[in-house]
Amino acid sequence: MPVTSRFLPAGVMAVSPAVLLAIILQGAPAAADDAALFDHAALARRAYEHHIGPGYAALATAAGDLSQSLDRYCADSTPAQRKAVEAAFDGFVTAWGYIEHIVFGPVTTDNRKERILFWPDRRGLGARQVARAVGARDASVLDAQTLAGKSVALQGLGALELVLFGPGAEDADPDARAYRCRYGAAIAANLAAVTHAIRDGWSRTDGFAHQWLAPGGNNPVYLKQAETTLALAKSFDQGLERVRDERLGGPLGLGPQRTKTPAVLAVSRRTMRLVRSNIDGLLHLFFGGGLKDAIISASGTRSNVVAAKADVVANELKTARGIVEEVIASRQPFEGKTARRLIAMGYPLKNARVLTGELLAETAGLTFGFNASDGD
Amino acid sequence: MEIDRRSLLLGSCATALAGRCSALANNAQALYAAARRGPEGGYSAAIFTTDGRDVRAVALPGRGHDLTVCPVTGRCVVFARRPGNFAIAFSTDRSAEPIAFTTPPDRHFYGHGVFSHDGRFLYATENDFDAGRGVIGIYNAKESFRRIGEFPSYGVGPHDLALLRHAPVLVIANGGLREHPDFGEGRRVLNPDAIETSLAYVDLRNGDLVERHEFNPTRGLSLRHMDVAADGTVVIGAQVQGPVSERNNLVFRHRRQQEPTALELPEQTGRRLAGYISSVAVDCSGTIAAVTSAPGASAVMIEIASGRVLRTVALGDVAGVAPSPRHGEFLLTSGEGELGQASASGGIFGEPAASPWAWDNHAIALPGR
Repeated sequence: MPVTSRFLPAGVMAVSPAVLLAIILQGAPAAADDAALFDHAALARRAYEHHIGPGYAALATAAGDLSQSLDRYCADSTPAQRKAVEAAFDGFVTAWGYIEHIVFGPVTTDNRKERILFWPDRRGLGARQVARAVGARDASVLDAQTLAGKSVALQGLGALELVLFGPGAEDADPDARAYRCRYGAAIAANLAAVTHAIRDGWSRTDGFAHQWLAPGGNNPVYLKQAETTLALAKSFDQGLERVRDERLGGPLGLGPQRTKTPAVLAVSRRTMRLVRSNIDGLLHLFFGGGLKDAIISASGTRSNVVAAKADVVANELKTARGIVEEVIASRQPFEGKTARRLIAMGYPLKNARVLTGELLAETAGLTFGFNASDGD
Repeated sequence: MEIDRRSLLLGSCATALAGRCSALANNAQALYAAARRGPEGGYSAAIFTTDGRDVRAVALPGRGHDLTVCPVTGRCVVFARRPGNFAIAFSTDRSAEPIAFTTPPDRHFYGHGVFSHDGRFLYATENDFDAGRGVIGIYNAKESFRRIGEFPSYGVGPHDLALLRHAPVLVIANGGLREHPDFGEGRRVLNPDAIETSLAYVDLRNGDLVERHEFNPTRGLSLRHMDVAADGTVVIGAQVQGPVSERNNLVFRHRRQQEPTALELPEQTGRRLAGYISSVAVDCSGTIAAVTSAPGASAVMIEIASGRVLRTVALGDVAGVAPSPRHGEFLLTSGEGELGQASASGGIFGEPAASPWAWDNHAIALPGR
């Protein structure tokens, strides 16, 4: 029986796991000479100093701005303050999208990732739990510290968009509005606390950056220097996969089950803003974060070929970004003509993934396998 | 209809396998089954020959994991990889449509299952994720695999399971990893500091726990895969969550009513296993085990009775391993597409067959018909 695939060869379904490219930390014979040239330590440092560190700093700043804007809006509910809240919301969505692909370090502890954005929300927990809290005027969600210990679906961007843009957000009753505002302010304050913890978790004296920059025998996270390159490669790979299969393929109904799943941040119509920022963050990891330069520096005698391939990766990502820009103003991007444009993003995103895998296999001596780092 | 709990759980052991070498050797050509990813990224499962020729393939809606084969009908079932919830039954008989079935919405598969000796029931390791407990789902093979009940796995995160050869007793490796589909794509360990891995024996006649052993000689150890030797010894392969050293115990033996023992592998072998056993298989004679390690790109063959390492072979991204019809021989499958044949006496022999498939974590041998 032939196995067919269209947009979603990776086969994302409602509960299927992300498909990772497993990478074995062993030299591929053909690339052994070039692999010796790959400067893993320099890449780790550059990625941290130019991409990860600044990305989390910007996220923490955006969360602080969002929190302050909501505090002001609660004290003074004018259209101008509301506009400032929406601008700060946009700023936080953008800052999160930019760094969301990083899948290692302090973001992985205490469910911080889900507390910032609980998605996919397969069972619609966010809508149910937020509606229940708002309906009952539950006072326990109004304090950021108490909220931090509650369900992740009551925290984060998903809850905040329901509070600010969801059903009942336009309610004229002043008490209802005041409650929503205070709940929104608590969510934003909690987001500020979580993102500050991530930023500081990297940068403090004994922070994660210390482990990231110094792999070795006593390092509890990274034994070999190449493992940091592996972590970046996985982040890049999973980030591309998330955009293609979950963010776009799901709402387009192109998963293997051919059923449409809700789009992320659809209530606030920020789906494509997040997607654009996701691609921007991946592009920045590739360029500013140093992936491309590290690959080219290690290409030895094949530098022309490798550089040309790396350019294709960059161009594919830019093509995808251009399509997002085309449809970003659409109110229903997953319908009709704009949907067809989004379907066209599948191919460049896939090519970028595949080519990056090939480049890292050749230059970093990381042989892409299937079972090695994502077995079971 | 009221189903008697005893008849529901009981799988007669009258057809217990004996002499697997002869059974397998009766096959005109040895057949295996495994899940895989295709060159275009689509997932499938197949029954195939040693040289990688498909006899039957079925498309899967997501990544598969292990398969099990019915000892009576020869029908295979492929399970979704955690936290997937689909399974598909199919066979070499092309006239028979594959049967797809799923877990209930509040459960997911862990990728492993086994038939009762009489083929009537299928048992699968599952996650009751909201409660954070492992269960064994029971499916009626005669009713298109309708799920008819469950019993506890007596631990968290059950992974592989096996049926003892001569008794209606299921042995379950509880990996100890708590996971939930809402967190980290269902694959993030939510209890990294409190992993309690165990081996549980359950009486299929009543779902009762008959024996349980907790393993935690090394912090972060997770029992995952197993097979059963001819003498009833259960050979278990573990994975280390966290920092890895060549001194980690990864392979264990256990016999009923005794304490489990770790195989003291040579340091060099330990290094080749990289803290991670991908699969475990016992050969057709029931006396030699092979364990694979994809991160270590190695397979190690071990004499079960003595624990002696007989042979270590290298194959890139090797994970799947299944007994061939000959004593001490195995088929190895690789995520890089290769199918290699290896023997405990001579290592890899013949040229590994190349294929366009990224073979997934496990492979099984089909019994002779």
